[in-house]
Amino acid sequence: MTTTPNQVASQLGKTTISDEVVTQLVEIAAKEVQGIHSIAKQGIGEQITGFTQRFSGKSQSSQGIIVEVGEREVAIDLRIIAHYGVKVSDLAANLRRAIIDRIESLLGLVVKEVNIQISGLFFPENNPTETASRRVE
Amino acid sequence: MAKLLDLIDERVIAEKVRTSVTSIPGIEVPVDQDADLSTVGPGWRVWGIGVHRVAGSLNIEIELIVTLNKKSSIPSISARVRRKVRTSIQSLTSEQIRWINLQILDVRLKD
Amino acid sequence: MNIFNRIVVIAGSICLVMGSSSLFLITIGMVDPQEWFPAPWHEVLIPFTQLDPSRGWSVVGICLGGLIVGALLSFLELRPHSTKVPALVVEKDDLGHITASMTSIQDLVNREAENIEGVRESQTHVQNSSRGIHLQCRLSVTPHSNAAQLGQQVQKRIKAAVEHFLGKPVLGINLQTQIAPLTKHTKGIQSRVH
Repeated sequence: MTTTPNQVASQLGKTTISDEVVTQLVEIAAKEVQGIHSIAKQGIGEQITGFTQRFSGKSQSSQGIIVEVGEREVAIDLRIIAHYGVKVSDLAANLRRAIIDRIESLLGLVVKEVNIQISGLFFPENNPTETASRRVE
Repeated sequence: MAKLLDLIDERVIAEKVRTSVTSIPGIEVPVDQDADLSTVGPGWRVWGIGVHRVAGSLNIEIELIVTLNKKSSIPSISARVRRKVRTSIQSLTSEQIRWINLQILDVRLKD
Repeated sequence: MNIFNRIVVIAGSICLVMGSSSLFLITIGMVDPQEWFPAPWHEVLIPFTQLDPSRGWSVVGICLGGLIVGALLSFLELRPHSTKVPALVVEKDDLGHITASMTSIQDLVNREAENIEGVRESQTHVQNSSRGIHLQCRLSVTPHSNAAQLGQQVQKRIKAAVEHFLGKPVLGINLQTQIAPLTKHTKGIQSRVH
């Protein structure tokens, strides 16, 4: 019977991956997908009303990404700001594919769930400074 | 008597583990307050490595900061680290290694 | 409730808890005001140590009431609030769900409407049903615009944009047009879909 590196490793101990690592990789994968402007952030109101949560648990929601990491599986909740003109279903499919590819290939974790919420839209004409900076390249 | 002599000091084991792990390209062990884990003794501390003796065998915990490129992955790196640690400890002592647990604290991506 | 009001309520409830508990302890004789409080407060607090039994019990009852109210208010304001945003489910499958916040849909509709010549402002209410989406829009239009023609343009454009964005059918778009600028309240929009 042949054994893969994962199987050999599990007999000798376990590998724990921190939530921060998964969050970081999700963010990198998301930024590579066309149609996504940014990851949604918590507003001041939410930060104040949710301040008791910061004293308990490991909430990653300050960046719009919440991950639940187990020994073999991971579940991801993601809130994003999309560019105006995108189609939600296509964007979500691309985003899921990017996240799953990255997480599964780099971390060896099975992505159980990727919940995506489009929490806002980015309209370029309402943000002239951002549009201007793009032209400078 | 022979059995007692075989019990190497935990500090030596921790230092050996640290040296062998950091010799792998792309692997770092956190130092000082960046590490959550350490092996402690009178007047010394080895950061990022935990060495415990339980029922005559060794349990080792290691915190890692890993640099990944397109060809590498956490499972393959974990296996490599475990092989390296096992080999280096077995050259030092005949004690059995029960488990080697790894904690990936941070990942850096390299193209 | 906005953030500043909440801060005032939290501060007030904490003061109520502290005040009630201090007065309670003074009245039952466990705390001596002269030892625990600065001099200006002695004149106010010492009489509470000399109350006759019936008045003393009334004060104790009021203090306990204040303590409970203050504690309850503190708890209600300080407990972690749900950060769930109202959203519409676009897709649901084995990998989870894809949703779009109501705000994003409203922003899209308002932007599409306001880009039509003659429309100055737009406010939208989104209602989702099992069969599709209903939109209710209030528009502020320029005085010389043809409301009927404008309305048709707005409906066509909004329908196309929302259906493209969400991939769900838009079953109806109700428009209310006016020349006056829109107020912030949307009380005039009544949902007809349940």
